[in-house]
Amino acid sequence: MFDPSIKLLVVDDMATMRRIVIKSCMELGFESFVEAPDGAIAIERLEENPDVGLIICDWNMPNVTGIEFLKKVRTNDQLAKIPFVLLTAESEVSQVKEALEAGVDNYIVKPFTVDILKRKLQDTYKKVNS
Amino acid sequence: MTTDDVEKEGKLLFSPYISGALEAVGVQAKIVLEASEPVRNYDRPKGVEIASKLSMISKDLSVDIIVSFPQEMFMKIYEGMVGETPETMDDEVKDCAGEVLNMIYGQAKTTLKTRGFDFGRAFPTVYSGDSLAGMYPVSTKDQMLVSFNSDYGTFYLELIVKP
Repeated sequence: MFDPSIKLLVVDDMATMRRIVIKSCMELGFESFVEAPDGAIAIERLEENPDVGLIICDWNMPNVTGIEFLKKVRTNDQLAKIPFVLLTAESEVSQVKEALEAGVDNYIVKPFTVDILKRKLQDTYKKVNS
Repeated sequence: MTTDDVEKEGKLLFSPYISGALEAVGVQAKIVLEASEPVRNYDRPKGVEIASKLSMISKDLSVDIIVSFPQEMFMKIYEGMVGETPETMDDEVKDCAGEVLNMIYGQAKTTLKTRGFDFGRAFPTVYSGDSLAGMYPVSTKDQMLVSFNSDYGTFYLELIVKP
């Protein structure tokens, strides 16, 4: 089971989707959030918030994309172990394969319900803790 | 290409977007929609106050996809998606029109690829007020419109194939 007391970093260029993710996570008990509109600012947020325990990040963003941000996180010793869930509007196999190869822990296809989010987070933590 | 070929290509292109809109708004905003039959000869939708457009380019095609909303319908979709009732349509609220189109495009893209249409990354632009007038391309090769009806009103999806 995931721990809703951890701080969550939500990365998406669309403010609406950040709000949807935060609202959905609040329904699951999460209370502490930081936000970033792209991968470059997300790195800054991680440096400012070393207690971030979970990242939910959009795939398709201008500047630094979700997959580029994921690669930066996975190659940084201090950040590499943070569970990383990619949010995508596409369920294309090649895209999912690329994300898995880059070290993503799970992915959520938009649109999604709170129940789907809950199940994906449970699966993520099961995988991370195994 | 004959007129029939153009019509067939248009329908092949458009149907994944219709499914995508039903899925995106149905799941994320929890609003039940009924889609009209696509029409090719139509006047631009009336009463539109906000819209978003995504321009897609593949090897052979240049296509604009536009989703447009009267304000009341848009606010209901925003409320359903975000769980807040906005008092005004500020920039953060308007951003929702782009996210709706993002989800529709994402849903459609996978199906389109299986039909031989391989579009790359694209980002939506949101239009409201005076900017709505400049949203449409100057010339079109083909176009289609679908209306989505709900208990809260109607919104529109247009596919415009450019020459």
